[in-house]
Amino acid sequence: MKTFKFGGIHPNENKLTSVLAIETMPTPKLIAVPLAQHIGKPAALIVKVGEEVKKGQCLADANGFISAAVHSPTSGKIKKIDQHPHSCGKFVKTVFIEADGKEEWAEGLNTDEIDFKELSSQEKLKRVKDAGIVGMGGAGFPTHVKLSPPKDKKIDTLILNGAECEPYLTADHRLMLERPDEILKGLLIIASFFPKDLKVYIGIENNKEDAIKLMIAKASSYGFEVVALKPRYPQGGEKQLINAITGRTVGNGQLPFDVGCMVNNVATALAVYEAVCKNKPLIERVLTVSGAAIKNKKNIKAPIGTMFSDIVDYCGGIESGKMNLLISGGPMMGKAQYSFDVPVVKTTSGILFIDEMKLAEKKERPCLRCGRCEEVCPLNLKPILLANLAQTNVEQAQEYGLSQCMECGSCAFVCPSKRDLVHWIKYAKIMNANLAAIAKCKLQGS
Amino acid sequence: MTAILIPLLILSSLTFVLGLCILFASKKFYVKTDPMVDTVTAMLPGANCGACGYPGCAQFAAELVKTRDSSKTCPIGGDDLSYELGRILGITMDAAKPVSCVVLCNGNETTTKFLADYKGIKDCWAVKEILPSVKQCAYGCVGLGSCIASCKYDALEIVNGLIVVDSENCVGCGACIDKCPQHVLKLQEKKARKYHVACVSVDKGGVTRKYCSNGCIGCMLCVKACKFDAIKVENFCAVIDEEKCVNCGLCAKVCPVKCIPLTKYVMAPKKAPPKIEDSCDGCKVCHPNETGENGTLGY
Repeated sequence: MKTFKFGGIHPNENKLTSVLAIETMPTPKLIAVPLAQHIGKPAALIVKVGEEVKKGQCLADANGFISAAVHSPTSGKIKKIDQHPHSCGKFVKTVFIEADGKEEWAEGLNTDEIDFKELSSQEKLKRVKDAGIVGMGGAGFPTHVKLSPPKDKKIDTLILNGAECEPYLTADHRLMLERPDEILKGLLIIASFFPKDLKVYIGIENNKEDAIKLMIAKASSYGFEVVALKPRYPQGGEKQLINAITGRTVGNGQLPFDVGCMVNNVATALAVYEAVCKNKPLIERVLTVSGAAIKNKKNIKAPIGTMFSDIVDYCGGIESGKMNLLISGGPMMGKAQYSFDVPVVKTTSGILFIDEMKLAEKKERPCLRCGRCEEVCPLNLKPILLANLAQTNVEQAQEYGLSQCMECGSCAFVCPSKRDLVHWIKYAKIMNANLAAIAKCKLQGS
Repeated sequence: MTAILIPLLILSSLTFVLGLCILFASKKFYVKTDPMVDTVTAMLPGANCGACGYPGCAQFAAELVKTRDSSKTCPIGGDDLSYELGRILGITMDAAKPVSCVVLCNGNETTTKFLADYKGIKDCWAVKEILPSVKQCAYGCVGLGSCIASCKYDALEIVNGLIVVDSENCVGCGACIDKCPQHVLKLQEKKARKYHVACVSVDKGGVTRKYCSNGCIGCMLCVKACKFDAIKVENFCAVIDEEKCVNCGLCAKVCPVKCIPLTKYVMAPKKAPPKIEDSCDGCKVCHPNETGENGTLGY
């Protein structure tokens, strides 16, 4: 069975919610929509406090080339616009909408299904851009930018990412089971941007056998090939998935289109379908609510901007005294949260309520020089070297491939001394950015 | 015997030849240095702290000797050193303004609520990457001491989760200022009694009050108390105008949250100008460059 070449780990899967159907969560009374939900510049606000907005109405426009629009997930009145905690850990400008419960769609949105073949390539791209679609696997790269690669790069392989290698998360798995036709149509729309001889693969990890069977049955009529992959983390990473399916290696500083590939997530394909065929902006997403400390584990479809506290209420509350750690995203790459007042954003693939004391009570010990972190690094880096350089000589860390690290956390997971390798690498990245900013200031000053 | 003699001979002759080479090189390639620069360098503290704006003491000395700029001072040496430098260089040095580092935050672990149980690496910048701060206040001192390593004078210390400056050790070199992600370290002029506002929170009073009992709530009491119009409230935080402030302490007395602390600095006594005896005949030995009248010095 296929898998990627270097490194990787296989943590306990803990897919507790894989048999639970997706439930649609009712819109809560107060919705908080952050303006930065993607990589790139935050969107530029176009509404004012006190204004009445309809469902799907644009709240903020894409600001610059790499940016994405943000839409209202419900109809109601804008209560305030203020800095608010975001799941990235920082304060971000956020639009608070008081829902009126009418759920009225703005004009021309959420129409009956149309055939995408009637639309030109330009129109399709415009619809994707206007819908504010970003990569929903976690990174949040604006999809309209991805769909218009530089002219000199020829894309010959399109991959649908259904790997979902993070433990606990089952949102993509459920989507593939419940809405396969729409996902495949979305994939067809993405494929229609590229030449006819495009080879399309659907990569699914072997621990989702029902999804693989269903996809093989459905995809044959479209001419797509389903590839079953050996479960291994971080298979869902772009570079790893390309390596696993096509055998090509995305080198240092290269992007997937440099090797003629493009990878899109299952949820992104669905969003593209809804945007192009139904003119429906990205205002809701499917996410997994799991972990031992939440009473009812669920896969839910929640409006973007739903506070975590509302989701806790919807899922029956927290088991008293068990809760130890709140994570937005998967346990490997997700971020620990300090507040329940954080809203769901376009890239929130799950919310985990962890009870394990092990995670919270870990103690850092000196490095044993065992080399396990180097063995598991999917990018062939030397994590302990980078972490040590972060503490001694941050600039030198660049020479050892600091910027290539995707912070997958495999090294910190296997470290027998429980060293904070990923955090040190993140630290080195910000310190380098600071140094560069200071150097730039000095250059401009002189 | 020869087994020892031969290597001994070879080595000693080699030493002799190489010694000659070194002697020749030292004469031939001798770089003339200004003896004045050497003298001035020897007088400077030699800490190479960079507070003067030059990479080290030697570069500062070279620049000072070259330009004879009276405004260039060594902040660490203070008035004494300025006086001596001026005497040697034959210029009147400007009065040194000694500065010291001060913390614009008053929220320690008993007064400020914590945001979360932070278990990550102990570095303020690393915290700022994933949280607003360790404490609920997003503006004040994070309290993990990223600045401490930059201090060469052992003047910074974490006490109760708040950075504290030892005013006796601090020389005001400013090396720590840009090591703080929150920008709560600032240089202020040293005075026997000096007041500053120890808060930078721009949250509204009620919000600040919720998480920190020592934070400025922008109540304007200090503004009303000030008789010199030297304090104003901007963005719900008091700011003292250094030029107008006379450090009387009226504002500190009325502050309900006690966020205008007093720092007392030990000031070096001012050196009295040299006394000129009536017997002076203006020989200029004491002050060679000054073309003063009989019985005057350039001070």
